[in-house]
Amino acid sequence: MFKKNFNITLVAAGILFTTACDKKLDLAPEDTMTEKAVLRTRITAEAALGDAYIKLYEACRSDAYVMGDLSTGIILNFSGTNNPYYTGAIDPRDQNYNPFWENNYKTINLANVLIDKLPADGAFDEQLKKQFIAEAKLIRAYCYSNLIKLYGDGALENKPSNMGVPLRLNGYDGYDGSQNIPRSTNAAVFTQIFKDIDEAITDLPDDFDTDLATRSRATKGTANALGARVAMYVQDNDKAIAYGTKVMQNNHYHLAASIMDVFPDNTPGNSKITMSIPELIMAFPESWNNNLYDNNGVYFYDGYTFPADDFVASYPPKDIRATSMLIPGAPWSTHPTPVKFSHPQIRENMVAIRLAETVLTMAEALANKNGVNQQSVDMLNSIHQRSFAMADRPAPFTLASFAGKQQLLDAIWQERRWELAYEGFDRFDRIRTGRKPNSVLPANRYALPVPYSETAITGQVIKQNPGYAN
Amino acid sequence: MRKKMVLLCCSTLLLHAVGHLQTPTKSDPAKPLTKPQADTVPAKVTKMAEVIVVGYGTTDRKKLTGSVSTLKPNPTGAPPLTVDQMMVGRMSGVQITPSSGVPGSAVAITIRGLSTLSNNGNAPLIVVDGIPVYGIGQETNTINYNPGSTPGFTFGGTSVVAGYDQGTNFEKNPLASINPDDIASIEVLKDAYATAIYGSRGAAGVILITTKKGLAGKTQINAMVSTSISKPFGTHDIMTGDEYADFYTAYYKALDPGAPKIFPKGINTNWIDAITRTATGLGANVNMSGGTEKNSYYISAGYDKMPSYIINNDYERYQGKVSVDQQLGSKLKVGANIALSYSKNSGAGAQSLYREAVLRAPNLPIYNADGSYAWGKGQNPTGPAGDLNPVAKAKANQNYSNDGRVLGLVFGELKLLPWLVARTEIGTDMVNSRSYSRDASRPHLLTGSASETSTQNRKWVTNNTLTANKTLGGVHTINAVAGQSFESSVENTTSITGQGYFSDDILSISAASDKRVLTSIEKKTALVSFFGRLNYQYMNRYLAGITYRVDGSSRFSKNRRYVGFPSFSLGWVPSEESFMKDLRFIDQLKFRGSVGFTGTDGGAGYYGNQGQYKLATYSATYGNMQTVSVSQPANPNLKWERTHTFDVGMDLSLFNSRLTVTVDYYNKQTKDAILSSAVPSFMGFTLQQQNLADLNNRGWEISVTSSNIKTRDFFWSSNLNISRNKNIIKKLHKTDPNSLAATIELYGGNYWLPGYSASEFFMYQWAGVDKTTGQPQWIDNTGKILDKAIPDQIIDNPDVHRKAMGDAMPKIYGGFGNNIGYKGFELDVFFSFAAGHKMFNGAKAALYSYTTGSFEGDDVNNLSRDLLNYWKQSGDITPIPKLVNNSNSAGSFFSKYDYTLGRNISRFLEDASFLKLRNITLAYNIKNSWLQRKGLGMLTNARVFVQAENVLVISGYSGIDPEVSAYGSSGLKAGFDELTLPNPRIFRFGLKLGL
Repeated sequence: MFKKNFNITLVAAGILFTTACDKKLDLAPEDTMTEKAVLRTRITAEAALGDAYIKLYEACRSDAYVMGDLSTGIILNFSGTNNPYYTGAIDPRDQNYNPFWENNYKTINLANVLIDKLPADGAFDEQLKKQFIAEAKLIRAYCYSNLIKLYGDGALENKPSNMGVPLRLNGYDGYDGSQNIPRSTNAAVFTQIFKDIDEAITDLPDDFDTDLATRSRATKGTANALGARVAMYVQDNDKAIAYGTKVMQNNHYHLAASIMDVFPDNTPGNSKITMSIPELIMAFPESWNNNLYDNNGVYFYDGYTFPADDFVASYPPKDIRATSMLIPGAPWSTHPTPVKFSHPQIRENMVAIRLAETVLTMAEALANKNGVNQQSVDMLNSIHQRSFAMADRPAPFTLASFAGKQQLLDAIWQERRWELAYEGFDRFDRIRTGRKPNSVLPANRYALPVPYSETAITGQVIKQNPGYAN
Repeated sequence: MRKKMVLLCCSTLLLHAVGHLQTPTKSDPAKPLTKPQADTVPAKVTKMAEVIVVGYGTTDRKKLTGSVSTLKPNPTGAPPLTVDQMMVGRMSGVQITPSSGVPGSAVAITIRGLSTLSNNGNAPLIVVDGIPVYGIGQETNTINYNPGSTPGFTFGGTSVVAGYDQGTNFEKNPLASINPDDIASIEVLKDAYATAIYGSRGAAGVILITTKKGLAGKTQINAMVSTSISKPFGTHDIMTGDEYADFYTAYYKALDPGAPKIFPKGINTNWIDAITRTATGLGANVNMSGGTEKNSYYISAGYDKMPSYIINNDYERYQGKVSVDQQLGSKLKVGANIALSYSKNSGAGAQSLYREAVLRAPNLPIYNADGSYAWGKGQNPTGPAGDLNPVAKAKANQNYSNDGRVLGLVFGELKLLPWLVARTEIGTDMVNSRSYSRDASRPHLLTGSASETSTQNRKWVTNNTLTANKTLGGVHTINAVAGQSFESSVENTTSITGQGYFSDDILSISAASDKRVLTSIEKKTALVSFFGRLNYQYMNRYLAGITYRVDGSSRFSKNRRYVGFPSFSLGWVPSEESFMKDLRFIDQLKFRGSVGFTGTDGGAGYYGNQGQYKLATYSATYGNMQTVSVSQPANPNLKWERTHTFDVGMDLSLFNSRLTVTVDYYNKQTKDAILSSAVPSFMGFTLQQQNLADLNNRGWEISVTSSNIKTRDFFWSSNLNISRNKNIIKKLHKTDPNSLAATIELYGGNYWLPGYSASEFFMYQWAGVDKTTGQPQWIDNTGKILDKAIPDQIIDNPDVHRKAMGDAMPKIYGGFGNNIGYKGFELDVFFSFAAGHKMFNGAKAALYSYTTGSFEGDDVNNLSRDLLNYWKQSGDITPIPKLVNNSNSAGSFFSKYDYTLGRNISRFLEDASFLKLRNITLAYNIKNSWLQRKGLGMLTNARVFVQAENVLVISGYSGIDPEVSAYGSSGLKAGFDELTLPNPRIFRFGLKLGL
């Protein structure tokens, strides 16, 4: 009897083990979610979008932020003008420069996942889904605008059929080589950027419920401002004017009375750039990382990078951008730091687009189109005048101040250089307007080298820019 | 009715497989050697028929067609602290490197070479009494005792290019929780026929540990007590305070004659002496066993105290084990086996304390005049940013890990037919660990900090097997096992950290003013397996076998979840043939061969290859937005690795087993090894696990045991084993190897190139110092001599100038021992050796480093006395270049560097071949007559012994101990001595009693 029962138990046990087996292998991780689960609910989908913004920030921070000014002598580092952005001495195999490429594509991948999969996988409000997708499209457009200006061969020099960058529009789903794609033409990349911007404008909100969100997330205003910027990359004045006008008409944005209002002295570490200031169109909030030791990688405070003396001397006397806006940084630094980056731990809300840029873009596009004109002069004045203390203000420019179109353009470009200094525009402004960034950078190195890993792993499906060996 | 039931039962089990252990049949010529051997038996002599444990069963060595090394430990003196130390050099094909001299620290065990390129894939599977347990591996066993620390904001500064950072990690040895005294035998499964029954975890070999069980007979009690002293094997030769002061004064003068820095003389602190000690340990063990025909039991208890030779860094261990079995009726047997272990290891920080002591400026005192600890740079003109004072840290800080472990097993065994046994066993491995560290107040950490990590790992294993042993017609013998197994593991980790204590006496993290939860996570895995083995023997002359295992693992995604691993073997025993029957001195001559597949799941993560999103690091937010971040891309193409092994061997036993020889040749081929490899970054990711690499391990093994002399009063036995392995990466990437090798290296792998070993050193070639200029000389890949660092002056892929300069894994390794007895005396001497490999003497590199620093000050580390002999003037012939030279720079603040000390420079690569006198024991068995005279007649035996471990090493290696590894259990990262604590030299004195 005993044996009999035992055998039955054994059989039962055997059956039990087998039927339950395969199910027991389906184990879900506790601290992580699968892609599908992330996209399903509003909260997690929005959190993934938040990560896309952070990745966009990472693509824009650090050297990506300052290289435009290091290239033209606005700022210097310890090696003076012998820095690789100035000289063009960058080797494709030098991995220090890979982040310019990698970080944008990381962001693009996440945006692609949202754009591709949210319509099907998201189980929440349709309108909100559209908005998230629009935000992702704007993020994608922003990244491609970064990539094309850095890597497009002649992209800013009106060479539409030259090599742009690979246009990757799908989310990652494994790599086995079959995903390799060649670089699209500059024209194709720009077309994609404007397509994303225009599609985004339709579904983006005018604003969010907080200033912080309105000025850090994508809105209609952000998209238009980006559109105006990119339109100038392709010398399309009409497009720039059209986008720019939308920004001017948007009542969320006004120029600050003084530039000091936008950029407070933050050396004590407690007066960050205010996210509610109406001049900001988009800025990356410094909340992005709770690790107190991480930072945005723009080291003015410590004197690692610093304004060049001859650049500072180029401002007119009493221009507060050369006086009040340059303050002592760290005790050990032998150089002043711009207030734009004066936080001691290098943690500061980081400006991506502000109205002053769009105003000067508009002024330039209008001057290109109409020659010397009142609107451009007014816009130029609006920036120039506020850069002086009330008592020191020079006489405003008038139509008569400019002998011709070129003189007006020169003045606008000069103002742009002064106003947007340390914000990384100069290299690209010069290239797109046919001016050499500096006297030593060869024209075939206006574009950075594509990282070696790309050309090597794809077996030359992705080609190197002409100015570099491989 | 009964018959039907049995049939049903069989079919269920046969279909779905489970189980372990054959019951020895009556025809077995010997019982399993699971009985605790009386200590007086010099059990170095091989028995006539040896039963050895294999996967899910046992077999007679004579019938074995796989390759299995066996060790039945029976030390003359006390066993070493851990099982692995017992195995070093004693088993062919098994290469064991203790990582450091810290008690309870990790060990690297590599069986027949590195078979995969993932750090977790090269550790063998460890099976205790049939239950696979939590084994060796950095991921599971490493504690970070200072996880909350942030490096502080040091800006700019100098570093050694490609240098080494001492982390705050300690890798524990999971084998330390198994009492070496309880071990009956250790079997290492090596070839495919032996390992394929463990399927997806067999590729790196399998270690089967069988613990002692009770045996019918009179109750036996064995007790041992020993006391030990341990000392550093050696210490580094470093400068005194005055030498140090002179050196740095001269250096800063050379650097900038205009602004000299004067280092004061007068104080000569020997930091190494201050931090080391002669540690006194204690070991005590007692076991009792006995039983009747119906039942048996084994009970043991053990205590070990083995402090490290670093002050205040101790190790204590308590162990207990109970094993019982009971026969119920004639068919059914049940039993249980439970081993408990608890250890308290406060030596986790010993390594970093030692490093700090070696490098601390010797012209600074330990204490200030007022008796408080002296931190900072004292009167020196410059000094490092951090708070350094190893003595203060050793005394005031706490850093320990308390580990509890339960290894348990219950089984039922039913003899269905005389030749057929069904067995069910349920086993568990529960590991409970709390690591705590507390940094007391010091200048840069005024309010102190603490961290605590709790780990609970639970593993349940069910094995169901059906074992058949049948001889048909007297000539056909079949041994078969079919089984099924289900294994599940849950691992919980919680880690918290806090800062801000108002008193050093407060320990709880809840009392810290600033506290954070760093980790709180549960990880799960499960494995379902079905397996079977069929051995067939014809007249004991012709042998054949087949095994098959199917594993389904939760670590792989659904479409690739199950995989099968077959193996086959053949054997021929010519000594049973009629033409050899007359050669009476040959007991057995056997040729055998096997081929089969095994795998590894070490490369796969916990949840396989699903695309995963996690809360972003440090819970980043974007403005008001929460964020989740991609932690792993979906990877649907990832496949299992497969290792294909071919093995041929010979077993020879002569003169009534007085001489046995085993020879094996193997060729092990791993295909599609998983490797994190670069993908083009326009994809959005830069690295992804891919099935890219093919590896090959080839080698041979010889082991010999010999009972040279055996008379009533005198015996002498010897053993020797030698193994040779050659590892080659056959195939790696699809594209430019050098550049990608550099990428992989950057992400924590090795510099791997096809055609070379997985642990090959690729080095920039150092050509010494130019005697005229004092400049370091480098050789590029064309043989040209350059006097500036290659990685400095060649920007475009400098790595092509690196040359393969040797393997970190030995070409040949093994051990030999002699055991001699005369009357009551017994002498045991054992050597282990390894040859043909290289070691990077990072200790020396660290002690040659005088340029590093940060913004707050230069490190001004203490240095090797070698540096006193630096190049001073034209004509000086010295290996130490001019202090300020073309390959280092202490010039501009942002561009300080030193290229001469990198881990990729041949300057410090040395031959690490060694011969080590690992153990020498002299014992004396007290005569029974004497015992009786003294009224100790109840003692059946009594033995006193003196013993020394790690006595001496013969090696060309200029460091202290060629047997260390800065990277713990990682075989792939073998070959780095980074001021790694040398193994201790231990002297013991002890007493063994039996009654």
